Amino acid sequence: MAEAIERIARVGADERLVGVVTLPAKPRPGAPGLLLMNAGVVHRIGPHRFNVKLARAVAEDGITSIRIDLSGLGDSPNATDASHSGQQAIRDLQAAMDHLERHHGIRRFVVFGLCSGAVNGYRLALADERIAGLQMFDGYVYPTWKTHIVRRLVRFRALPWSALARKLVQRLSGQRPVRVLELGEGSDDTHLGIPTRPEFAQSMQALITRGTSVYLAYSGSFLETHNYTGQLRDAFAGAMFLDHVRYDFMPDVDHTMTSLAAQRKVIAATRDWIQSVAAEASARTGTTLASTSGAGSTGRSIQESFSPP
Amino acid sequence: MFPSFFGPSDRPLFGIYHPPADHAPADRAVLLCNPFGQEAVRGHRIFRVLATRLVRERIPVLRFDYHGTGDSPGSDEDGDLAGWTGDVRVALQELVARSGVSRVVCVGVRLGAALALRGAGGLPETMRLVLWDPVVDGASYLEQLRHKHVEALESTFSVADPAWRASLANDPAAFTSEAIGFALSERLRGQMRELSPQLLRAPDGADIHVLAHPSDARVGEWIASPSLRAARSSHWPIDEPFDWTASQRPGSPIVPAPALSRLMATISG
Repeated sequence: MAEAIERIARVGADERLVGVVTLPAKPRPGAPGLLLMNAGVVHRIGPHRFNVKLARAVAEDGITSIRIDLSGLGDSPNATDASHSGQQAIRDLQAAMDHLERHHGIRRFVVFGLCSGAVNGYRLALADERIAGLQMFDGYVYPTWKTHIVRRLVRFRALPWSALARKLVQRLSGQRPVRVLELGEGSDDTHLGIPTRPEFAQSMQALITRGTSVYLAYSGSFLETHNYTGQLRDAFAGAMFLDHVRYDFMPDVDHTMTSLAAQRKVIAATRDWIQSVAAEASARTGTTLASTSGAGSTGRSIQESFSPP
Repeated sequence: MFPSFFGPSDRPLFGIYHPPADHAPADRAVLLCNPFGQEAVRGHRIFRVLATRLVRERIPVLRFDYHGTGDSPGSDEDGDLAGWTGDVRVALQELVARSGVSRVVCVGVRLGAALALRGAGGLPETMRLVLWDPVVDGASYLEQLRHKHVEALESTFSVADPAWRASLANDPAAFTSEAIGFALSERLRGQMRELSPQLLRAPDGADIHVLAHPSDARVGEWIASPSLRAARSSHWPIDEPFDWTASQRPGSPIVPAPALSRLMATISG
């Protein structure tokens, strides 16, 4: 089987941002390109090299990808102006899309974001109509009353019996105040720039209406805020977008995919979703196999590329 | 800063070359050799900051990813100490060619220290080896990785599975084939087990500076062993221990200042 090729990408008007493009040996005609970025402060390879592994996996499906360091992260320098980091991230990702369009003829994109990357992906999708698919892994969370019950139940089950007995004695003797559960607490942190439930629902609906595919995936690392299958449906009961987004709660996968099994699971799910986005794009445009994505047209020197085995 | 792929076409490596400020003539160049797995992810920012400071001192720098790591081709499963040792030599030649400087200080961190010593120790271009928290005992390092892997799982999941600790305590084979997000092939584990203070020998006359926490008994044993007898070695205690496998979180100290200062002084001196 022919191998993918990887190339250095200097992204942006002044080629300030550092990235790597993975070009499939057999590009899927009309398929969107995949955008990958930093999660937190981890450089472009992603936590546990996840971005590299995902990029090479989707290349087997004919998907071109770029993984970049956003301004001030990894090997990319800080932005030259003092703009808000969220706005800068959108500009950086748009520059990455411009790069793939200019060098490889790709005009539609899917974006995978983990944690802070999910927030960046969300903002990008709303700001730029070239985004055909948005995957938010551990993005915004909206707890329900059931979330709080599940959390307490899970914590209760995990306690050793001695600790349980001690807590009971404390409660009965009045040493520990009983906390009154407030429905929906901690869910709408507008002061942090986190969208409220109505805002999030409105954004999801806008993306769906526009034809952007959305995949919301949650790990098992956030017992406090997202802890059962179906939480999204409960949190947004009756919202129209629910029937049109892909949603997964993966309790056996942690936030940064520490185990190889977790990495494989998320990569398989992401590949499947991107394939469906690509299929939709093909159906919509009537793309034929005779067309090409223009991969390999950069003319970069061999010293800037390699073929991953 | 110039990212590129370099080396043989059948085993290219990803690297970033930092030319000296003002492209001034330099009397030495620095090759930075990564640790393994999560420790390399943790070390990325440190190496970038170190490189930035070195080029201000007009010292060119090359940092790179071994085969199967970082942005270099290959998968986790391709990990191979012999291959990585060869990668160090290829990178050193790349640095000499790009910088035009034939005196190289090799900085190796954790497992990268052993690779730098083995790969560059005997080369005429290597003027000095600076080894930070070196892994000198592969068997104990593998055992440490098992424990760190379980610690990572326990910290990342909201509720830890008690079976992880039980397996760690009762099954020596548990958590051996992967470590904190990276695969450990049987071949790599075998090679690591062969790494010991007795067998990690320094070439005659090598100029070696070891930076390590005073409580690191394995490093102390290595420094006192015949393995370093033929070398001119110095031991610089770093009093602040550094957790190489910890996750990076925004706002947390990701570049330890005392070690960075000592590295700068040891490289430039």
